[in-house]
Amino acid sequence: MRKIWIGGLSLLLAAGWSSCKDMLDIESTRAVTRENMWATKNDAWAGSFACYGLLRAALCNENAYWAHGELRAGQFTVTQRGDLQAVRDNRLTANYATMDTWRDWRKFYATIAQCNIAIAKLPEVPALDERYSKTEMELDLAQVRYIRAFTYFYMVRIWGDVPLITEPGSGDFTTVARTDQNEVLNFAFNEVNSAIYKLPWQFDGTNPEQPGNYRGQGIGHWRGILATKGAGFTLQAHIRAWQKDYQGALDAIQIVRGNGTKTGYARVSVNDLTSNGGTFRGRRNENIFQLDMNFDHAEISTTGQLENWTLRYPDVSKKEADIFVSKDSILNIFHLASDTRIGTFFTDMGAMQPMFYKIKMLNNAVKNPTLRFFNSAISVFRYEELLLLQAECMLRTGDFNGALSLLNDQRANRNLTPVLNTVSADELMEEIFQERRRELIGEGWLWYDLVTFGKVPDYTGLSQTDVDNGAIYWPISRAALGLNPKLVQTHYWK
Amino acid sequence: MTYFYPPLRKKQVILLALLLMGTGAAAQKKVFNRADSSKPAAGDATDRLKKLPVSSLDTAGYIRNTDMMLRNRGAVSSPDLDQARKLPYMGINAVLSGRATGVDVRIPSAEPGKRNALFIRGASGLLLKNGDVFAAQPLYVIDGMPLQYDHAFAYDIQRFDFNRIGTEIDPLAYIDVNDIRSIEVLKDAAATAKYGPSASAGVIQISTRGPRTGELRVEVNGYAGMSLKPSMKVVNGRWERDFRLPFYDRYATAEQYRSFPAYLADSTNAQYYGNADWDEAYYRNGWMTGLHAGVSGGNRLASFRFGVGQATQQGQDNTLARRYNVNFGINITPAKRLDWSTYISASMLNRKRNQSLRDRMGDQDYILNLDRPPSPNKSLLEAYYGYLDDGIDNNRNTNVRVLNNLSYQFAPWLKFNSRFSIDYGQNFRDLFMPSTVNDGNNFASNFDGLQNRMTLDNSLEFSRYLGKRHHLTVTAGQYNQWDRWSYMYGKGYRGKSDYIKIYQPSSPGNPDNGSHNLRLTANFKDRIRAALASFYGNIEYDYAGKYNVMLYLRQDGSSNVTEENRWKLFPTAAVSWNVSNEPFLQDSKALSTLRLRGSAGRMGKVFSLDYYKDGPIYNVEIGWEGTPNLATYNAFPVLNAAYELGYVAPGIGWAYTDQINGGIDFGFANDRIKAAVDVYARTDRDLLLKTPVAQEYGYSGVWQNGMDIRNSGVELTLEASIIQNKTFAWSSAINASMNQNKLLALPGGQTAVVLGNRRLEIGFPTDRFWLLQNEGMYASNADVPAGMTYQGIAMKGGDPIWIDRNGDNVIDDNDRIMEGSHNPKVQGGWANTLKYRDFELNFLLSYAFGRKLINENLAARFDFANREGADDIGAVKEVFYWAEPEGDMDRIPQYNPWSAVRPYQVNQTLFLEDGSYVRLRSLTLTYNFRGAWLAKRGLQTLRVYGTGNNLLTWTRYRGGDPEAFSYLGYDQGGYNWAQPKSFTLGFNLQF
Repeated sequence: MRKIWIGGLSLLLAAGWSSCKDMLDIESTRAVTRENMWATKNDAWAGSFACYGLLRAALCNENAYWAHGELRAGQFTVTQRGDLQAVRDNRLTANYATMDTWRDWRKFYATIAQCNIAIAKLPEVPALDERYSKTEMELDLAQVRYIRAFTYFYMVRIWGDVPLITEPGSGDFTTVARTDQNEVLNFAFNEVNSAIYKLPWQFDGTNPEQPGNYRGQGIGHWRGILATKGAGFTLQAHIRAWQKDYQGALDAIQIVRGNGTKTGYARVSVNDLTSNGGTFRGRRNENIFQLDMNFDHAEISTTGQLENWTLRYPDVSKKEADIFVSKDSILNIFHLASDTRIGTFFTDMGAMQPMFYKIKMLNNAVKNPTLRFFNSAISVFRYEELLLLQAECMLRTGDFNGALSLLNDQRANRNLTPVLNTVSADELMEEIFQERRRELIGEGWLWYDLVTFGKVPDYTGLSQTDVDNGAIYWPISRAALGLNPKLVQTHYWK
Repeated sequence: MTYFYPPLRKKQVILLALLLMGTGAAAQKKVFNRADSSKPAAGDATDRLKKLPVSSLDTAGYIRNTDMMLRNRGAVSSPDLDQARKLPYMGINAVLSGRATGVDVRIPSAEPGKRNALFIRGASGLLLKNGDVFAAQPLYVIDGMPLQYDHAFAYDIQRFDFNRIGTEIDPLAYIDVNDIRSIEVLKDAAATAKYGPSASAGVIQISTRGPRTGELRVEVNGYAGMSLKPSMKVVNGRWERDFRLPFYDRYATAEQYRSFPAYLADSTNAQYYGNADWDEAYYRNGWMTGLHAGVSGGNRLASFRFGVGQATQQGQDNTLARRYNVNFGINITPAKRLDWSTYISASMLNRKRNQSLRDRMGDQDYILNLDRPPSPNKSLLEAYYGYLDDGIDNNRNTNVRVLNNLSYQFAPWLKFNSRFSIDYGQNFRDLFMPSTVNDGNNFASNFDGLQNRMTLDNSLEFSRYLGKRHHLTVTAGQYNQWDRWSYMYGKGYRGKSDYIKIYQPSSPGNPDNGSHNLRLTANFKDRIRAALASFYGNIEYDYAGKYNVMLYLRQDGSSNVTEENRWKLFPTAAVSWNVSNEPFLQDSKALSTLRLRGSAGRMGKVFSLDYYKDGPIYNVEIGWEGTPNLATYNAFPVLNAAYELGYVAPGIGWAYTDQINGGIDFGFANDRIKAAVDVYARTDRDLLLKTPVAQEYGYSGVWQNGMDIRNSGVELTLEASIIQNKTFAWSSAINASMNQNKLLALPGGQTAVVLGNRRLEIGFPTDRFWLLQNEGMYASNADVPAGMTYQGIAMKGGDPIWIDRNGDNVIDDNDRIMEGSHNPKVQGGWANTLKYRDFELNFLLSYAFGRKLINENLAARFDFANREGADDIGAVKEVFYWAEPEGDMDRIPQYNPWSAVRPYQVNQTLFLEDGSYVRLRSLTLTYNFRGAWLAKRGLQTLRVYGTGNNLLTWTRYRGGDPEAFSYLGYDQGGYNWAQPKSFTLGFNLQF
């Protein structure tokens, strides 16, 4: 009897001792380690699309896209929110949590960092997973390069000189000083240049760069959403225009215009622009590059969309919108009564505060009563915008008639009388600016237009001296400055 | 209206009680009829029984494993349970508050059955958010079985961290205090080392009233009582308007006047200007009842105990907690020298939660329309509760614990012990919010969490006298622990009907089938596994009961540590000198006990998360503020380097705790006066911390070892039996704990780091608020020093004067001071027991001094300009908004609330207040029945008692209850429910 007990107990003991060798090797089921990443096609797909996702996150974060591009320009009136009012008044050092977010560039650098990793790692994947062809890898790689270039371009517009980092970090987090913005922009331009040759005009399987179905989906899934040659040239045009190299911009635009059959880009009617299946649903021919949101993919959110600020009762259960365009401003901006945009871009004109109604992507599934899940895509580049940029560049390079005819085409589409060829070049420039302002209202362009057209002092409380001192840029966040001693605050914000 | 809710399901409870008493009595009768129940039938067994020694523990009842390898040494404090058992406590933590030294109990909200927290000798690690509290909890051990605590990981998918998703039920409310024999708080390394790395934050060691030998005994305990509703200065819209108008008159622009809230503007609106009587529906006098019964008996060969209990507590705002628990334990000796114990416990706890809008919006991850606050009117609040009745909010935790212990005695000096335990818990919440109270869209969600822990501990103990005076104990053993936490969480917005309270997502192509559109539903699943393997050895040498030396060595391996650093050796040593056993003191009656203790040890600390072990990781993090959980781009899944989670530095190793402790135990006058002093320093070393790094690499920070925090302090207890004669006795016990902490090191040689709204600097405490210093107000623009700005915003008249500490004319973070802490400098309790004949009066005063709190509620009230109608959860107004904010309002200057400098921001010394208090925590009057008539009726003990709880509080804090504040030291007003005043009547009966 006793031996049985002893034997049994020592067995029990032995079982306990031997099991602990394996028992401690538990892989996390919650995260992927470095070793397990970038080995398969799925990793490559997920790792490259994360760049789009992170860019979208950076732009949607507290509606940064509109805080940066729209609100500062001042055409929207703020109802109650002190933080929005502070942006509108260019008090960009004000103390609000949201303001910290808008000043902060970390999420943009997360996008850059993801691109840097993907650019380093993607070329290794085809050798590890034969399902992932080199052609597909090149295509993904080119898109990642495009996103990185776009992100740098965006950041230069917001902060001016920004540190240029092009390699994946090694974990030592070496601090880097700000790089001259022209160098950054030239880097971005060249990156797009190299990406363009690997990008198709469309993801429809007819281009040698992109044979067959991309990731198993046809053009319907991808139109306007991924980086294409057209989006690349458009980005190049904007980079050059920001650098005031208008001929360079024009060259890029002309390639896009000259490949109309391949791009499929087309103008959009006012109705299609604002309808529920329209531009802000996207995947349409007027969208050159959009950052997608989509109800059918459950890529919907309560925050991160302009609607969160502009909609109110009866569409959203909110008494007043956070921002609106006042009646005076509407009549001032859209001064011709024939303009078909007045009725579609705004609603409830009889009220004290009309509602900005251009972007109102409320899927039927979240209407009546509204569940606040918005799904409007960010329209980054749109064909009308490109055409107006072309008009601007033509005029700046001396092609008065070309500019005029482009502008009048656009005006005709919006039911405006043509501008006569008797106007002066300055007047025509003003007309182009005003048309951009009308057409692109709420799409995050006006602030950059004020900068490129030199109109910041006319439209805001900032003087030309302020502009020269860097007031057009956002201050670098305190957090970024505190963590990187090599950074120097923009002069105006010191 | 006063609510006199009868305890729901009263009938069942009474039936159960009758049944128990009935069966107990029947069993008793049977036993009495048999002359002697301790005589077994078989002759062989009788023989064996004779040889078995019966210890006092055997007759008191215990699970036969607590004596082996679990002996207590070192710094231990144990509360007087006999008193605590009479009090209506549902959780263990409340029992310890004020009764044990070195313990800091935090109950941010007295919502019945809700999780709370306890820190032993200060929080181990940093507390920067609510989720950090989980890992700082001590290890709770029941009969040698380490309980598994809830995991904070579900916070990962939450936008708001008010509550963790799931039930938020207090896992320590499973245990009925009537089933507990003793609770001991183990503090220093000598006491805690035996429980290994899970015990680095201290141990609460609970021993149950296990099986006992002796005649069959039935005990029945019951109480019923009522908690009183608090009194409020309720107000309606007029008060609020009168409060705001002076600010408007002084500062408002035309634009600001225009946005004067509509609900305050119209004084004819009965909804806001009508009766302010919401408190009559919101608060109530809540019932509390508890009933417990236990049966135990047997002999040294086989004994058992069976316990069953029920407890119910009602709180304000329709809240309720109800617990049922059953446990069963047996000790048997199936063969010679073999002891076998099994203990099985099961309990279920249901909770009705509060109805606050903030918590609901947090649960739904959706911010409802905030234009109009709820009305201060009772009828409207009742109507709202009526709508909520169409919803569902079931919160249920169930827990099953099984402990199996075998020990075999090879020889009187050589024992083998094997302990195996399973702790299994389910955390289940079913939520449905009808569209009527939810901006027209209903919401359904379901949380199903499972957790289980399995442990195995085998040890061999050699224990024998070598010669007359030398006693040597050598123990070697091995311990394994397997943990698993998992949950599934699903939610659906906007179901098709309020009658469908589940969610069945539609198919992707056809949104019309199913109860919810597929795209408006979301499902989450998460799982963590962890394992721990340890080998330990202990040598203990005792010389003549005078000198005792112990050395404990433990090699731990954790699955959550990088493979190359996985195993680490943790030693502990302890010495004690029982001076009173020395010849020169042996006969002293004046100094009857004098013992010196000292211990030093290093213990591992386990990481609660499993992704720190393989360097940088990839994760899905393409969400943004307010939308944390997006996982796809254009329907394709993404995976990015973990920028938000942070860069996990390769080679992360163990964090550990070094603790030294010195103690003296005194006993004077034959131990009529006892005192103990402990001095300690506990240093948590190589803690993992995420510190921000240069943002240009995208990461929110880097995770690395290297933070050292020291908690040090002194603990005193003094117990005296002051008067003791036949009719009258008075005994008194006072305890005091002083603790302070200090940051010793930060990772990577940093000297200071800012995390959220706290600053950590080496050489300074980690728990200080980080505040701007107020010095009045700039009356006019002319008073502002030239060029003075607040973060670049020029200051104007009506702005606060904040002290420009570095003199650079810019008020910013560099001008903040680290001041005040919610951790008190001294805290403890003073208990007194007075006995006169058969009456017994007991009262406990608990206190905390040197605690500072931030009255966030008051700040929010003054900051109305930023919180009115803002689409932000911080702007939520609850029904309890309609009460005068507690606090010294006259002290707050009339700043310009619209100023861009945020004059009423929370983190400034203006809102810092002294939160010290003394509180009469409990008062108990007991009558013990005595006399021959008891025995005649077969009764052994009968006593009845009445208690009063939280009856009096002395405090300088003006913001309400000084104990009701968040884990981080902010008083959030109505969200932090004060522990109510309550009265109960109860009885204890044994037969």
